[in-house]
Amino acid sequence: MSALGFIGLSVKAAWVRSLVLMLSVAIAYALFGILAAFYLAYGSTGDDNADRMITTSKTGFSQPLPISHFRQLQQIDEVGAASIASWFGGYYREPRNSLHAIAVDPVSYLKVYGDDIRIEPAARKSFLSDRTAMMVGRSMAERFGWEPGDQVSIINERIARADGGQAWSFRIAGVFEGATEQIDTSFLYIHYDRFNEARAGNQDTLGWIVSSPAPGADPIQMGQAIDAFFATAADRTTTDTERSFSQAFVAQFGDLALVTLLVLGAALVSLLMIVASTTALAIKRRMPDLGILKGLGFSHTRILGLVIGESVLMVLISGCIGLALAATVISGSSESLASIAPGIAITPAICALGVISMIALGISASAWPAWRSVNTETVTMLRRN
Amino acid sequence: MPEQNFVTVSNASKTYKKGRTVIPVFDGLSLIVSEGAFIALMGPSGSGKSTLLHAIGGLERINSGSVNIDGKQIDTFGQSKLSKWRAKTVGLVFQSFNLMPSLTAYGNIELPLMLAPLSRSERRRRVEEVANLVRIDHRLKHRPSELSGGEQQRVAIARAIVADPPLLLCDEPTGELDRATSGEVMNILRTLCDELGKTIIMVTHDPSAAAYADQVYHFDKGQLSVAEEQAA
Repeated sequence: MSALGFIGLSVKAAWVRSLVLMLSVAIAYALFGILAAFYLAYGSTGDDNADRMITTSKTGFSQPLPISHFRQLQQIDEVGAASIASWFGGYYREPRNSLHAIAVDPVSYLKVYGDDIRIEPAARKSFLSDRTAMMVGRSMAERFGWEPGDQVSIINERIARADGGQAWSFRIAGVFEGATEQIDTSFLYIHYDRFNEARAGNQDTLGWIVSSPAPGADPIQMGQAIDAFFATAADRTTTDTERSFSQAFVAQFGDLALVTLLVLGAALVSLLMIVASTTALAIKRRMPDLGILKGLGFSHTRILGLVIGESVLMVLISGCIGLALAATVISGSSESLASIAPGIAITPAICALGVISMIALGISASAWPAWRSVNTETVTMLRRN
Repeated sequence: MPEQNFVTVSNASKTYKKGRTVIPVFDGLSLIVSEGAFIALMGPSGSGKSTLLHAIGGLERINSGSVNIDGKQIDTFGQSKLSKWRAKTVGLVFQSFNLMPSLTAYGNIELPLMLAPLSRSERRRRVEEVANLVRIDHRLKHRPSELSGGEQQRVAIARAIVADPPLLLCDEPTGELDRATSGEVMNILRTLCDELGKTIIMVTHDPSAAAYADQVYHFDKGQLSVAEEQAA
């Protein structure tokens, strides 16, 4: 019988305990996988670009900037391309169908994001030429079953229309794809001009300005130049990387990552502690068996190898099952999480971290009882039989 | 009776500590066992006979004196060396059989061979050979819980001899067996001594079991005395 076969028999001998233990580990690592994937994906819009910078009001992200800032910003030497955007939001039919809708200046926006968004030329033309048109991301279109040409009514209770209505009607000009899988397509874009004219207040203001540097210019220096330019203006600005902006944007819905990290982290640590103590107890109960092996002449090294090997193997098998479970769950819910955690996935890095932590858990859970077993008199261990 | 000394225990002392109390087990004890001999150690509970047996098997260390087995002073061995030596030299048989419940009789007997570089077919050959010798070959696929006490002890004996160690240490091998089964087990041990030349040291309370030995030693208050030498 090989050492592996021996380990297998030990597991089989106490199969209920082994099953419960492996189930616990699998759940722990399913949580770990989901947590890690969420944590890595959170705040990343997938289309974050190292060159693109976002300019918002220095007072706070929710404070609008005057549209004049956009025109002035384009005069700064370091700025290459720039565009504007304002949060529109709203929902489709029911409040639970909340929408990530952004009002943009179509021409300049598609210029800045042209490398990230793929759309049919005809659809692009249709969007640019019709102020009542909207451009919908693939993920969002599939979520609601929308097709190009559909007329969609979006309810917006937060942004009142000048005519007192809450319904905004748009024609779907086209469905855009992300240039890569990581790019979030759970958005829709409407025309800023139409939005600006129709709303009851805050006319000629915008939410943020996105800009990319002129050839040869450094994006950070560009950001500093923008903020310096508006340093004496009534509406001062702050310019940061797109990633920082994305994280701040998501944070307005609550610091989901922190909450997730705390809740799942606490659950995970508790579960792992239970696993460690159960493993330790299981090994303690096998002391007589280990005593037999010692009596037969099994060396300390070999016994340590068997005990720790069994623990590591069990944690590895069940942990990998847990990660596979996490991958399944994430795969099934990636669309609904796309807006806050785009491109969420169990990455090779998460798998590697998982496997390393499994080995560490297997060793740490069994090392102390294994060490005790080899340092206990063989006769004492046999007497426990 | 063979002449060469196989086991030599010289001036051995052993104490246990229980809290701050030091409990002496034996002091200045000596024993010589010839190669191929079968001796029985008898005496009241707590007299130290099992401790002596464990010291000879390298399972417990003595406080002073020496234990020499086949020319090797094992009380000076480190743990690793002691384990290797025990795997090659000593077969252990216990009162409570000490079989691994998760393994079949075959698996239990095969255990010591995991330490030897043998092919699977060679291991199988050896297991079947010793199983046949102790007449347990028809129960190899059964687990200990499915075997009678006598069968379990025969499995334990087969396990003790499968790696062909020259020394067998038996601690109350018939302690949990009825009279008829005890006789069967003792006959096996006697055969191992007579036909395979094993040196056997057996601790027992049972005079009828001790009767199978070449020589019986009495243990009392840490002292050893030859009770009788008998024909096998």
